Amino acid sequence: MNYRLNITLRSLAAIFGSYGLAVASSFALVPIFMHVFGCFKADAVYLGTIFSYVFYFACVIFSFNRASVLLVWRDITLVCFIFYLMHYIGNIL
Amino acid sequence: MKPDFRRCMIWLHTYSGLLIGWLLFVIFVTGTLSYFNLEISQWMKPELGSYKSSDKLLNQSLSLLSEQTNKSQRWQINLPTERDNQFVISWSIPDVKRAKRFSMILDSQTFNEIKVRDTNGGNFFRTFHYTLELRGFGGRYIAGIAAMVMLIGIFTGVFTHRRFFKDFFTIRINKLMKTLTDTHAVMGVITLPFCFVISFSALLIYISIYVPFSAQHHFDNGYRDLNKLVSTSLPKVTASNIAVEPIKDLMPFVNTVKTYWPEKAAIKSIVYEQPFDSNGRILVYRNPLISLSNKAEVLAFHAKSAELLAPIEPERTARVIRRIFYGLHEAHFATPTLRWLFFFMGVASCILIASGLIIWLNKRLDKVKKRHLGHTLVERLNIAGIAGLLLAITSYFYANRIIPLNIESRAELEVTTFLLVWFICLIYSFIRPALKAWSEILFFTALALLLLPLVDFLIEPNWLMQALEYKNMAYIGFDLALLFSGGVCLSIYKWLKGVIEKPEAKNIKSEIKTKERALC
Repeated sequence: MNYRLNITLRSLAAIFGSYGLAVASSFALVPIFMHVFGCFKADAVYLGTIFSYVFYFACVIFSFNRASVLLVWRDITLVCFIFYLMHYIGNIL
Repeated sequence: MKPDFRRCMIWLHTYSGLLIGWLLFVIFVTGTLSYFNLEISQWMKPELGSYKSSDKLLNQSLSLLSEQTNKSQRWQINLPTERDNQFVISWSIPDVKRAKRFSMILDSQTFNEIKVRDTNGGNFFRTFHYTLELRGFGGRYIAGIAAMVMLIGIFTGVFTHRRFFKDFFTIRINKLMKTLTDTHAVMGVITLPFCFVISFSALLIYISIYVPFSAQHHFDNGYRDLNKLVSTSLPKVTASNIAVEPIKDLMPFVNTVKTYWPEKAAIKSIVYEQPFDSNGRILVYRNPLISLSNKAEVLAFHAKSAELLAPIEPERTARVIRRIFYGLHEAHFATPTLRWLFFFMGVASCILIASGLIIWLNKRLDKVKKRHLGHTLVERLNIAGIAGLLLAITSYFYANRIIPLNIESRAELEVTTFLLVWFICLIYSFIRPALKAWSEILFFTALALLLLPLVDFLIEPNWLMQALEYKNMAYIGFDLALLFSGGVCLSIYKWLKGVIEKPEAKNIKSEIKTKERALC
């Protein structure tokens, strides 16, 4: 793949993809904190938001490090989907 | 992309650092100055004088407050502290929408009102370091992005070292490039934990605007509701509607407070809620020197019976995490020694960022034969962003002393001076040869910094004399810091001059040699 296109796609993944992933994680962590760690809902939302930064950070490093840029985007989509499922199941519980 | 993890990280370090380096430098310099926010403000408001605080000020302020109005719902007395020499009383009167607030800055010896010059003081640096004078235009988002990039820069920077220990113990001072690389490495290692805490806490402070969606989804009013749910506070005063005269003597309260908070000058401020109601309440706030958390410690009393009321419930872990990071970022708890340590960590981070930017350029200039437009741009922005910023900050202090006191919107004019000088430096850096522009701007800065205490003394000798008399360390310390940083700028200027002249000397020697050969 063209070098410039490669870098552009990776940067986009690092900036916007990671942000999307971080937001998704801030939703998905709420049921975990509530049901696994037994927090109040407000605390769970608060902690979920705090920990979403960790996911942002990890995802930025990951997007420049994965062998192919397509894999980066595939994985981000996949993880976002898993996060959505967690949020969805959390709503049902 | 790159074949292995380490090279990937180096690439990321290089380019994320380059893109946001100047912004980070500005944020770190102004942020480092904000450690001495109150001290700088004290120097910039010399009318405040240099008086010591004591609990004896309290009763007289109460009688002053009761002279003002009998409609007030809330009185507040802020005692002067070692750092912040402002003795302020304020009162608020309920109005249709919001309570109107009035305040008076007092002389702690005569209890007359002091007219303080209109200036933002050190607070300008504090607000500038996270809003960049762009509040309402996304300034805080830009600062947040910078903090994130700093975190990435720290993480990736660790991988750039192959020999962590060896790098730490080497500084080669003969060649500009090698000195810079070694300085960058050493500063990086020293400030690693500091930079991590500062950048991460910066992100945590504005959680509500950086990742608001989860809170918006779960609560009607978003983060505002969430904030109310996670933090604890005292219940509101329930008015009994029985009018009484406010109490006149605060000493019993002060004596009770002393048994709870034994340290010297423990009281920062006192709030008297509903002074004209029999259910009035007195809140005593503690000087934040003990706790890392940014939650204010407070004792509440029933005003009439002097009975201690139930304390605020402790907060749960989620909130405490943010409180402590917030507290660490602001460092209000730091005693003078610790504060200086923080300050020097901040300075080291600034050096780290600046040296990184210069290394990027020099490494590339050595290799390329023909310059790219980007190289010139980086070169000039380095000059304006690093040396120019220092000059701009100095000019801000000059503006504070020189602009006449009765001019309208004087505080804005000071800020304008800062921005204008910075802009002039940018233009100047484009019209002069690079090394000349570096050394000239540094020389101006050094000269300005060294002359500033003198200018201050010439404008009004009394300020310094009074500070000396009362051992006002904030004022004296600021003057000393000016002289010291002026000296540092001057020595960098001299060293830079030496570096510029050396290659020329070599050239001359080789010319002589060739001439000799030609003669032979």
